Amino acid sequence: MTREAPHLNEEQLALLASEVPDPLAEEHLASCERCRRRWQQYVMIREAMRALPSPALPRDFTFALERVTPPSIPWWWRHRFSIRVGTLLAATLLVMLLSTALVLPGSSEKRALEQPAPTAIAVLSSQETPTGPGAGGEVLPPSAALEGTPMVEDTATSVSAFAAPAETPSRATPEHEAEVTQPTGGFWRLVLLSFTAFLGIITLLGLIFGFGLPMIHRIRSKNVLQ
Amino acid sequence: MFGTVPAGEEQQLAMGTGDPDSTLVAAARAGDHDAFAELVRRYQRLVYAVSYRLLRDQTLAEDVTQDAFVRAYLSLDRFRGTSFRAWVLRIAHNAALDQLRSLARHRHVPLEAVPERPEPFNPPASVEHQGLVAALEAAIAVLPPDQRAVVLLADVEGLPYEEVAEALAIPLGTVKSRLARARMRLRALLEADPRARELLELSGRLASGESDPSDLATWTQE
Repeated sequence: MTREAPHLNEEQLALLASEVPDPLAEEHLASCERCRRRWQQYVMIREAMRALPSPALPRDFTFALERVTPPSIPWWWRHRFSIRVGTLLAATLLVMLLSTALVLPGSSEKRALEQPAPTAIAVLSSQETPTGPGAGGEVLPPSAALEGTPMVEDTATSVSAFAAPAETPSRATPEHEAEVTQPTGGFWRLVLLSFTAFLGIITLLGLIFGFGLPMIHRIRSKNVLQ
Repeated sequence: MFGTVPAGEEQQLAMGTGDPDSTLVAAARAGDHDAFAELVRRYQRLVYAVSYRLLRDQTLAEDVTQDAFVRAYLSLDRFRGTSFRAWVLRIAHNAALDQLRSLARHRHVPLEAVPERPEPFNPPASVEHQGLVAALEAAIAVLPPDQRAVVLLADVEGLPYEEVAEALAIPLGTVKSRLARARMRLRALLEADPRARELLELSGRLASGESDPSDLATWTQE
């Protein structure tokens, strides 16, 4: 049965020079002269290498250590973990503040201002209206668009209404009323804005000193040691 | 079909048993210069020998050895490995590879190029079997750098596979495959070298039972 086993390949024989063969390999080596001869060559080569004389040490390498001074460690490297924690806290607070600002009552006013004015829509509608007989030329003036009341006027009237938007009667909104009744709202808004800006700066600096510079420092030292 | 069981006196120095240098490393970390000096004394021969055989240049090997210990000293607080010896060897190996790359660029030859006539290795004159030693050194010198490093650490210096893997930052399987390829190439090189013929003929006699197996031990001890 053993004699029918295939020969050990060259790589197995080479590795067996420093390993104890398993029972199957050992049995094969005992019975196969060809494999045993090659294996012995590897063993001999390895033993000869183990017996190679070491090159003479040219000098003692310990003396130079006395002259070695450790490089100064930058402050951001020493405190990088504290900086990271502070940065994450500042970033969290910043996100919370910004999220809160979006759902505050003043934010709806901003959204209303960002929307296109109804008068512009009216003008666009009038330009696209065919001028042929029976076309009607029905447009909604700004005031009517805001109030949702349908009106029937000619094109000239609608253009003149766009040209003089100031004539549109203004109405006091609830936000304006709130500003009137709360005169200190602007101050607190300023405080909030300043705090947000402060947190933004802290977060930015924390990202630089807590994450960016330490990462560069680590990559550099890794390149040196690897 | 044929599995193998790691063995050998070096293989039994398992790394899992703990680093024998841990006390010295801890003391050196605490600022004890003498402790680090002791570590240097312990491994300077090994680091220099590996660097020398990798570079085949005494001056460069000295520079690499010194540089490796200085870097290790300055980065001791970042040592997270399991073996200080493997760590220092890794630093030295990387420094030696940098030197080889620099030399290759300077000489305009690729790193992997095998020189037709390697630089002669001059062992001490008192060494017996100088012809065979020279043949072995020459054969090792023409190996590609990756195989040469594995052979130097595993076969010449007798480090266990695990420590070789850690020193070269390669997987254990890669260590074995590189080692096998290196040994196969060495055998082919030595077969073609008349100075090593005696070694291979002796192994042939041993394998066929023509000689007393004790000759092997006697021969290798000479």
